[in-house]
Amino acid sequence: MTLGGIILLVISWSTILSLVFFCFKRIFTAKEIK
Amino acid sequence: MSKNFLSKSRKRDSWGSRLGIIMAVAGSAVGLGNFLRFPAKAAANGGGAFMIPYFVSLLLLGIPLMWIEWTLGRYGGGFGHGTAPGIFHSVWQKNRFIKYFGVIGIFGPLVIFIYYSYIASWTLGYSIFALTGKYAAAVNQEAMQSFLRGYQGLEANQYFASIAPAYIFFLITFFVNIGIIYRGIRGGVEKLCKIAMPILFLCGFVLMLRVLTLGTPDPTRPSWNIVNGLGFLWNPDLSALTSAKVWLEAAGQVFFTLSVGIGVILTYASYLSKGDDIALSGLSAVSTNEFAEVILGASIIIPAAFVFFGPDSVSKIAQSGVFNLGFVTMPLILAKIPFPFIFGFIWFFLLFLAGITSSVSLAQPAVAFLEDEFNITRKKAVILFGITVFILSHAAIFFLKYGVVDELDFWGGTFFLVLFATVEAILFGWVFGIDKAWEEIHHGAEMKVPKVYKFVIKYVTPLFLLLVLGVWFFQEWLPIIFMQNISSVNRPYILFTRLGLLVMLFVLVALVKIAWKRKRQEVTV
Repeated sequence: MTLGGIILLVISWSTILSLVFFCFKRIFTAKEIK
Repeated sequence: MSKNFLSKSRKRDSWGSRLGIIMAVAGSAVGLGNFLRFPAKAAANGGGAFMIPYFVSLLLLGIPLMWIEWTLGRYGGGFGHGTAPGIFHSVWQKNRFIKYFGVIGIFGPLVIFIYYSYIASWTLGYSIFALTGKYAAAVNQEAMQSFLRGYQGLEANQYFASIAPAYIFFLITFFVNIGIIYRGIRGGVEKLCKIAMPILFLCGFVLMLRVLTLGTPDPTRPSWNIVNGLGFLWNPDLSALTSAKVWLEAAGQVFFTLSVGIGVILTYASYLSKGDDIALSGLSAVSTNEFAEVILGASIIIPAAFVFFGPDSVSKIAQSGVFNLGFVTMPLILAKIPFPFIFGFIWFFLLFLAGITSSVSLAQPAVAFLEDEFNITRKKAVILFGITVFILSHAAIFFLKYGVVDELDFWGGTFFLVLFATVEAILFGWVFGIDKAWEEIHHGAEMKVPKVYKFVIKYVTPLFLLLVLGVWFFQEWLPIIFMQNISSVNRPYILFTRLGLLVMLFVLVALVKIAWKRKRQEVTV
C-alpha cells in the first residue's frame, strides 16, 4: 500500500466517521434551531 | 378552499420515532450495491483517486438531492399526499400536467420491486445453502457459476434439477415483504428497520474484522497480503482524474447508492409532521449509508479477493459484474477461511437484510398512492399491490435468461430515475423557489444547512444532473434503447417487456386522472 493510498483511506474514513458522529451526537442532544 | 383539496381527513400513518425514519431511509439506501458495486467501481476507476470525484458528487449531488426529497415529501404529506403526483401538484398547482410526470415516482419503484424481491430471495437461499454446505462442493469459479445458473433455472445440473428451490425462496421473501408492508409504516417498516439495520451493521463489522485480520494466508506468496489488498483498492491512480468517465462513474455511484430519484424518500418523508426535523435526519441517513459503503463495503470483498486470488485475478473479478462478485467469488473466498459455513451465512444474511429493507421501501409509493388518492385502507391497498406484483414478478423469474431483469433495471432503476431526479431538482429550486425551499428545509431543523447549499441546490445540482443525463443518454442509453446489443433470441422478450412497461405507465397515468377527477367532483358536491 502506497503513502497516497494510506492518506486517501485515512481522509475518507475520518470524513465519514466525523459525519456519522456529528449527526448522531446532534440527534440525541440538539435543540431545534430557530 | 385551496385547490389542494384533495384529500379527505383520513388519518395517515406516521413514524414512531426519529431514529425509525432514519433507519428506514438508510435501509432503503443500503443495498447490494454498497457491498458489491461500490468496491468494484472504485477498484476499476482509479482506486483511491476515485474517492475525489465520489466525495465531490456526494456534496454537490447526493446530499442536496436527499434534502430536496425529504423537504418535498414532508411538504406534500402536509396536504395528505405521499407520492410524487400529489406532491408535485402541491408544489406547482397552476400546472395541470406536472402530476402526470409524478407518475414516474410510483412507476420506478414498482418496476424495481418486480425483480428486486426475487434477487433478495437469492440471498436468503444462499444463506441457507451456506449453513447446510450445499455449495461446498463447488470449489472453483466455473463450478460456482454452474451452481448459480442451476439455482436460477438457467440450466439443470448436478446442483439443481429445476427452478423450484429458487421459487420457494422467492415465495418466502415475497410474503415476508407483503407481511411487513401490511403492518404499516410504524408497525411494519419502522420495526423491521430498527431491528434489521443494527444486525446488518453487526454482520458487516464481523466480516470486515475477519478480512482485515487475514494477514498473509499463503506464505509462498508474501505480497498477497491484506495491506496490499487494501492498497489495491485505495492506492490512487491520479491520471484517472482527467477521465470524464471516472467522474461520471462516481456521480452514478453516489446517485444510485442513496436511493434518490426513486420516489421512496418522498413517501417516507410524507409521514413526518410539519415540525419534524429533516435537515439533520436527511444528513444522518446519508452518513449511515456512506458508513456502510466506504468503510464496510470497501473493506470486505476486494481486499479478500486480492489476498486469495492475487492482483491479476482480482482485476478481472472486479469487472465480472455484481452477481458474480456476490454469488460466485465471495463464497469461494469464504471457503478458504476457517468456519466457512458461518461466514458464508453472515455474508448472505447481510445481503438479505440489505435487500429486504430496500424492497419494503420500494412498495411504499404504490401502496401510499392507493391509500392517499383513492382513500382505501392500507390493508386493501397492500392486497391489491401484492396480487399485481406477484403476477408481474413471474416475468423476472422465468424470463431471466432472456434479459428481462436487465431491461426492467434499465427503465425502472436507471433511465426514469435520473430523469425524475432532474425534474425534481428543477421543480424544487425554480418552481417552488429557493427562498421558500430554504425556509421549508429549516422548519423544525436541528442543524443549519450551510448557506452555500442555497446556490448549490438552485444551480449546481440541476446542472450536474442535466449534464449526467445528457452524457448518459447519448453515450450509454441510446444503444440500449435501440437494442443494439440484444440477440435476436432475446429481442421478442425485450419488446414484450417494453410493451408491458408502457401499459403499466398508461394505467398509472389513467389512475391519476381518475383520482383527480373524483376528488374534483367531491369538492364540487
